[in-house]
Order: sequence, then C-alpha cells, then structure tokens
Amino acid sequence: MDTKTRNKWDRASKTFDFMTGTGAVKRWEPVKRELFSHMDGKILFLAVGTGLDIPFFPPDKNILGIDISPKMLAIAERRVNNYQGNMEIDVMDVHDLAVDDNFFDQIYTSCTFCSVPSPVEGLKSLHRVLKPGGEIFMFEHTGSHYFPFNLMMNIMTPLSRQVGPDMNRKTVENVQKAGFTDIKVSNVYLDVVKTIRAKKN
Amino acid sequence: MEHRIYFIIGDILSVVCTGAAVSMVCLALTPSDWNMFLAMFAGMAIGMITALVISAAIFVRYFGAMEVMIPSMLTGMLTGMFISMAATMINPSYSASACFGVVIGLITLFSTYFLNKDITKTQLNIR
Repeated sequence: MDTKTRNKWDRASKTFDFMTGTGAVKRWEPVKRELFSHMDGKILFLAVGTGLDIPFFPPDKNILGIDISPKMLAIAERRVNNYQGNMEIDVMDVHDLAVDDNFFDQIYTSCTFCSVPSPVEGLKSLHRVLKPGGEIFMFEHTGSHYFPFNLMMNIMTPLSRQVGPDMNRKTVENVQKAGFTDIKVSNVYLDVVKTIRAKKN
Repeated sequence: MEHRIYFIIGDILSVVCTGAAVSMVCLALTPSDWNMFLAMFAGMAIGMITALVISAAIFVRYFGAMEVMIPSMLTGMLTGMFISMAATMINPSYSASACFGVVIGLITLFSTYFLNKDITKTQLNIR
C-alpha cells in the first residue's frame, strides 16, 4: 500500500466534498451520466472517493468501488447505502489489486489517473483484472497539446501535486502503453477534460 | 460549449474578479525601477499563482474545476505580464489596471469558449 498517497487523500477527505461537491459535480453531471449509462456486468469503479459520482450510476448494477483512502470511503458509505443496486466498497491500491485476473466486465474511472503515482503500472493492473473483450470507461482531465495551456499546466503541476492531482498527465498515451486497444477519446472541455473508452483484446 | 446560464455567469465572474485582483496585486508588487523584461516574467508568475489561489479558494467550489481554473490562470498570466511591464514604464493607476485586467479576462474567456467549441467537435480513435 502506498502510504504517502493514502495519507494525502485521507487529509484531502476533510475538504473534498466542500471543494468539489457543487461546481465540478454539477458541471460534469450530464457527461458522467452518459458515460455511466453503459454500465453492465461485473463492474470495478476505481477511486470512488467520497462517492460523489454514485448518484449518477444507473440502478440495479453490480459494482465494486475501491479507493486508497479509508477516510474517503467512510464518507462515501452513506451514498453507497443509498444506491439502488448491489454496490460494495473496499480499500485497495490500484498498483496492488487483490482481484483475480480477467474478473471484471467493465472498469470505470473518474478523475483518477491525474493522481495515481505510476499511471502506466496502474493501468496495466486494471488491464490484468479486466476480462478479454471487456471495456474501460474513463472520465479524466489531462495535460493539453495546445499552447499556452500546456505551458501553464506544466508550471502549475508541482504546486497542485502537493494537495491533489497532477494537471499535465498524458493519460491517453498511458492507456495505449498499458496495452488497451480500440481507444476512443471525446473531448469534453478543450483537450483537457475528456472521456476515454478502450478495450482489452 | 457551455449553455447553462449559471455556469456562464460563474465563468464571467471568475475571470473578471481574477483579472481585476491580479492587476492590482502585480501593480502593488512591481517596483517601477525594475527592468521591463524581468518585471514581465515576475508578473507572469505572480499572476498565475494569484489566479490559482483565487479560483481555488472562491470559484472552483461553485462553478467547476478546469473550466474555471484554465481561463482564470490564463487571465492571471497575461494580466500579470502586461501590468508588471506597464508598472516599469508608465505607472498606471489602480483603477485603470483593474479595468485592463477585466478586459483581458473577458477576452481570454471568450477565446477559450471559441477554441473549446472547435476542439470538442473532434473525436480521436486509436486502433
């Protein structure tokens, strides 16, 4: 277990809902609802956090939500209990998933790979537990290819990393490096906020 | 492209306040006897950091994350550069600087709206 990352998000849990529970959640609600509408089969939801995305899940699904921070999950519990389906949560590090190979039909992430310390290794771990033919659905913010956004985000990342996420991750390239194929990327805001769908062959 | 009026008002409010605040901070912190180019780079850094702090502390909570931070930081960067340069050359008033910051903020916001409309049309497929 990566205790440095766990402690960072345990600390962030105190103010997480206050900071992101209104603006970002409302702003991204339509896109997330559309992305989550594809949920089917055995589902892994990575980095469930305080559960702010749970109200957007379609009902009657079979979901395991994991997070590295026990304090985040403690806050998520109320939202998990209110979910109209089968949902369990567990403390787990993406780099060290205690799950059999080829176990899940689908994997979902939401603003996760801006914070995973070794993103390619994390994605390889998800690739391992996804069934062949299974799909990963991601809602992520990444770095930009456009000047001056890329310059700004590169400059600000050392600061933002201290309290939360990196702002300049190359998540699409990382998905490809981890072995996923048929990658579909839709930009939501500039080329910074995006949805990514990819398959395991 | 954002169509919800609540978020459009929030976007405008965040860049207007950021532009005005950054211009006054940069004017206050830039000594008038500094080299113009040194002042420009210092203003850029001060502007971005001020913008990040203002957007994270006030506007992110109500109006969204990246959609607020990116135009605000760009506003901070540009306003900081111009106002700090101006402080070494013409020593503008605080009110004129604040107005300049507001205009830069609005130009930045509408430029990102325009760019966003174009970029979000595209979908990338990698086999």
